[in-house]
Amino acid sequence: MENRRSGLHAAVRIFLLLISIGWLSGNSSAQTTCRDDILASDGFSIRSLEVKGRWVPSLKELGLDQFIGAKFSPQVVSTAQSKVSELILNEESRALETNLIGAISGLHITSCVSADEALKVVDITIRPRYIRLDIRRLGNNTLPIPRTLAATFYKHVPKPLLTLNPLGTAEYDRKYGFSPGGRITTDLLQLNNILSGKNLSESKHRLDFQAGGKKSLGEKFYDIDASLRFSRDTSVQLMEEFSVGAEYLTKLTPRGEGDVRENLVRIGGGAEIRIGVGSLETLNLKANYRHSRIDFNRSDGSFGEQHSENAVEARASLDGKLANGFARFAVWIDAVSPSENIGSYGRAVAKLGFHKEFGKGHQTVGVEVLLGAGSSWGRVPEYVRYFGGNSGSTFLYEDPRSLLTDIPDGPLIRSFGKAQLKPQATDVTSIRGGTSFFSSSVNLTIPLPKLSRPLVPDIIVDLPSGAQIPLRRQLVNVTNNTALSTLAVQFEKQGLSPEEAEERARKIVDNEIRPVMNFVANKANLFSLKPMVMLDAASLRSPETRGERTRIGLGGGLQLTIVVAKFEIGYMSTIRKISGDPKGNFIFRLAFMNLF
Amino acid sequence: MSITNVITPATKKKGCKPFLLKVMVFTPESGYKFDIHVQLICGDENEKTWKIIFNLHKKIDDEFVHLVGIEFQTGNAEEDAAVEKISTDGISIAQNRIFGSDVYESVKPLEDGHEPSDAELQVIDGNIRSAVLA
Repeated sequence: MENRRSGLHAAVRIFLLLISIGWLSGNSSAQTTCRDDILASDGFSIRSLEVKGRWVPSLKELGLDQFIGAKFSPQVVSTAQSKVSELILNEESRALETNLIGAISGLHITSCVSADEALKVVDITIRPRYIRLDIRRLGNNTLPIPRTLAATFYKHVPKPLLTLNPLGTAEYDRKYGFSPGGRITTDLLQLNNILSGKNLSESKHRLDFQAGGKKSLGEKFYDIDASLRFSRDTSVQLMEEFSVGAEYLTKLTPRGEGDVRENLVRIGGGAEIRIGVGSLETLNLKANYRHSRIDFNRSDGSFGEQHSENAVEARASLDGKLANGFARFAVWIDAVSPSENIGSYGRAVAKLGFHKEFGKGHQTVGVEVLLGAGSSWGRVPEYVRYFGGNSGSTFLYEDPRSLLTDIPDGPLIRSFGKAQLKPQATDVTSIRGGTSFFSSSVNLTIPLPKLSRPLVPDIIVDLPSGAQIPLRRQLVNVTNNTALSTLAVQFEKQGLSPEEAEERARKIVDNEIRPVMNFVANKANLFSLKPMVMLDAASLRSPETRGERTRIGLGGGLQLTIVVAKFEIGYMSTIRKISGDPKGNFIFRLAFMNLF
Repeated sequence: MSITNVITPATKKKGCKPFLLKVMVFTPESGYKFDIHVQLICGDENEKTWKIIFNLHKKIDDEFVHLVGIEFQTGNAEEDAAVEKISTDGISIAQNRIFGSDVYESVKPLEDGHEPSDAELQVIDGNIRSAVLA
């Protein structure tokens, strides 16, 4: 109980800290009045010059230090913008974009000149805004994940950060406890370039080393993995990438009345196929051989199983658009043969997820729906039976390559701790896991207008003709139309007639680029705090039980998205339960991402 | 006795908000890339000028290196209007064709680092002008 309380306290403290940071960042820029009417002849001098961005080098390194104390002229601002642009583009390197962060980009630089009339000085702020669109993972653009427009000066990002691309997480669950975790990923083939400060080479090959895990601070549970994966970017017609790899995983996780300790090695290959037809975007396929050692024990010592297993795994996920939202479907299939002669078995789980932001502008209602179903056959040992409960993973938000590893534990119902939902037993002494399940979840996030700030600010760009255009529309128009013309010219070079080339280019832009740009420019938030309503329903079945009752959990909470962090906190109550079920479960989840 | 006051409205000084926008990245052939920026420049007395910046990059030792930077400044109202349209609407197909062929072909010879002759500059200037006005 003490551990549970301290975990909750940690969650609340992190939450309040992030709200403060978000609130401050949301209000810091509102106090400055930007002037556009100060001329060289007005006799102002430059008191300060600041470049806004991430990992910004010194003014000296930017070549802008000579302007401090100099006479102000509007030309200085244009010169500073040019220098900042040169540096960002030189450091950025297209290889970095396509290899490390897998994105295409747009750059827009504006400025603000504020004046102190009494002292006759001005302060100049140069603000480069940099839009990154993920060209591999559609969901990264259209889901409400943390993001920022602040341009990154890559050469000044601390080497460990750039090299290891870290992701930080923290979760709380009544059974698993408070569990901080993290993950690092690095392309070993680019390690030398990154460490020596060079631009990344344009290689079609990657050798990704990934390691990560989490450890419960109050409980004995942990989950640690390390993997090595060689991939080749084929970029030929359908096949985007194929890969081979190996993974080692060790974990101790709760399962019903006991816990499972598992050590496994996985070797296999995969392919990423870009479909690009209609609503279907990307298909990920994986096939592995797995050898594992499993040790299952009931807490009261009444039952235990220890086995080695050889398994063949097949995994697939399909990402796409559905009704202008993001949809993902995934299937996990295991065919397993335990080393001891206890009979083989199989399991299959399928999940379908959908996310859409409803409403205009960035004050949108977010809806997430998740359906899951699982089945098993053969002599299914106790340690692989399905148990429902809260899940640390976020199905729609994960990289498909990470998603398609372990088969899910069972149905998602967040009012239960991890793997704590059991089938209804006729005899409580013979409680066993389920052999099939069904679950459905709905998340609703409601906007609070005063507690959010759009990713692309409400800036009006003044043009010399006297016309004005909102920055949002400018970015959308330029990206969409230039993409269209670039693709059309490429298709013309491949031999298509101008009409055919334009038609084909327009289809690609309308299907793949326009919806993404529209979301990023018009709906995405830099900071938002949204109340959240959660509803889960789960049903577990096994041959030993009859008349299974579907359990329902209902709860509420808050979702905070702030620049590079996403935080969810809430409480779910079990409103339809059976005797022995928990009343409810506090949950929270924090993830740091996009640190550069 | 009536008093007539003459009220002189305060003269509003003309404003200028400079900005720079990347509008295009293109791979004309293997091993080469160029990007195009549009920049609105404010002069000493807030005179507004449009500029097109064309940067050519070449792959050397597996890394793209910026070799040539060309700046084209508009010289008349027609060019001003055309570049303003690029800054709000992006590059059209007709403009894209010319930037990817004529402009690129005329800038590419400068990759060896030689000082461009007046004739070369004239050709580049003419090609960018054609692209802008296409």
